[in-house]
This record gives sequence, structure tokens and C-alpha cells, in this order.
Amino acid sequence: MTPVVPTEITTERLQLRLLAAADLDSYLAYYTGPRTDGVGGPKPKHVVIERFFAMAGQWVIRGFGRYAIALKGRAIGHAGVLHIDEVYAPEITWTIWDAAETGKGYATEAARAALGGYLAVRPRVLAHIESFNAASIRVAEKIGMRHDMDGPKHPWMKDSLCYVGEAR
Amino acid sequence: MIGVTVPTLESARLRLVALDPKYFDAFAAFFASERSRFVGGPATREQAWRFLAGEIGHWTMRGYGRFAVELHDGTFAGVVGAWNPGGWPEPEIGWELMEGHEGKGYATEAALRVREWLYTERGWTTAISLIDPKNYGSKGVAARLGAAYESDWHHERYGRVEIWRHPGPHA
Repeated sequence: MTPVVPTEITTERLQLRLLAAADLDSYLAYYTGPRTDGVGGPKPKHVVIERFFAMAGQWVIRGFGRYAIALKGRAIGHAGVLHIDEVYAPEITWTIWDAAETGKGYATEAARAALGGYLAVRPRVLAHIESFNAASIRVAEKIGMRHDMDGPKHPWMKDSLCYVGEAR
Repeated sequence: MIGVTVPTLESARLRLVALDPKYFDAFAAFFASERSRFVGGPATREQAWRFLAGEIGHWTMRGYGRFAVELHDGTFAGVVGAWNPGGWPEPEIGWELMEGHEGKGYATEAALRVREWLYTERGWTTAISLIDPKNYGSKGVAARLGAAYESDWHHERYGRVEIWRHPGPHA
């Protein structure tokens, strides 16, 4: 598959790149752990592995997807556009896996870059954020997404807010 | 180019090709049916999409994976190939046939071709298959491939599964 968006983006402090097999252990540690209440976790190990492989596979299927957020080569999270089966609209997600790296603006920096890359080639993307996830709501607002009261409901995040990002 | 180039393998009646979203409807129908009960189903369409994306991502992450099995007229008959997500006891050869394609020896023929490819092109020196104890059809395939029951293993979703060991490259 030919990429639709850049497969690597360098920001001031971070590198967004494709996921690598070596990133799986950090992703597993995050998604089986306690910091996942905003994203439907924690999940059993086999489910986390399936999701990791599916993230890699989506890049092949669609030419865009979710990047590893690398800090000096080490993956500390992921950010980018998830597009499951056509029933659901494309949605941007961002997550810092490593608790020690939160609160430094890395999610905002990575999500802004991923959003910009995607909206350079596609008109619109959603974000679904749990109403209690204040940190993530701040990220959405900082990167220029707007709250859409009438936006589609997320299939399983029943109290989530819908944000919209649109190409200018 | 994202991902890896998946080879095409041929056998007498089958073509083994890269999995692709064009098979998704058939794949989702399989996962909606009771036929998928030994391999993680029944599952929603959303979950089936993640499974298909995961099959494709496995190639990216491991450099090998599972193939779509096509009849020579292009009919999608199943998914067969090498599988090694994290936490597996060893890399395995796995097979699933779509509705209406069982009982014809396709799983055996495809798995045999995949095993030959793994041994000759990918340097595998041994292979296992993980099989649900009640999946008698799959055990029959394993036996026809010359594999034999070796021991039990516990998977967090499937519970107890049997490890069947295939004959090696020089058997």
C-alpha cells in the first residue's frame, strides 16, 4: 500500500513513526495497566496484542493510521487516525503509554502533527473523548478541534464528547 | 510502501495470496457464525475488522503470517498460515475454512504448502499447531499433516488447548 499521509513526522521534541515489533512490550504494559479508564481498559494481554497488530495492519489497508510517538527512539505512546470498518467514521486518537512522560505536552505535540498530516489529504476527522477525561479534552481544544454537540455517538464510549477537526 | 511483500504460493488446487480487505465480508460472515467458535468468535463486524487488520499487521511485525486461500476460480475458501502473536508458546501453523469448503482436504493441502514454504524459504526447523481439544475436524487435519499431540497449553481466552507437533523439514 502506498502511504496516503507521511509515515514519519518530526516535531520539535518527538518523532512520529510506524509501530515496530519492539514497541509491543511498552504498549502491553500501558494497556493492561490502570491508566486506561478513558479508553475502555484495562484489557487482557491477548486483546492488547490483537489491537497492536491491527494498528499495524490498518496502515497497510488504508495508507494511514496511528503512529508510535517516539522520544529519542523509544515509543512512549501512539497518535493518529483509526478507521475501522466503514460503519464508523475516521477518528483521531492519542495516548501517552508511559506515565512518567505525561504532563509535558507530548500528546498535544504529537496529535497536532498527526492531525495536520491527515487533514492535508482528507477533509474531516472526529475524536471521541470521555467527558471526564479533562486532559484529553484540553488536547483536542489546543490542536483546533471543536466540540460538536450533534456529532455521532461512539459505539461503546456512551458518555463521550465528539470533537471535529476539519481542513481549513 | 507500507508493510511487506507477501509471496503467492500455489498448490494443486489452491492459490495462497495476501489477505486484503476485499475478503472482509466473507471474513466477517465467518466470524458471525458458530464456525468461528474455536478461533475467538462469534464476533461482531467491528471485531472481525480488527482481526483482519491484525492478520495483515502480523506480516508487518513478524515478516510472515497467514494467507487467503483461493480456489483457482478466485473463490475465497479460508485463511491458512503462520501465526505468532506475543505470548505464544512457539510460532504455529493455523487454518480456518469458510462455510462450504470443509471436507475437501483444502486445509491440509494449504497447510502442507505453507509448512514447506516455512521450512525451505523461512528457515523454520519445527512447527506446532494449537488446537481446541473439542475441534475434531482440526485434529484430523493435523493428523493428516503428520503432526502428533505433544502437550497441553493454557490460553487466557481459549483455555486449555492442545499443542500438536509437526514433522520437521527432513522427516
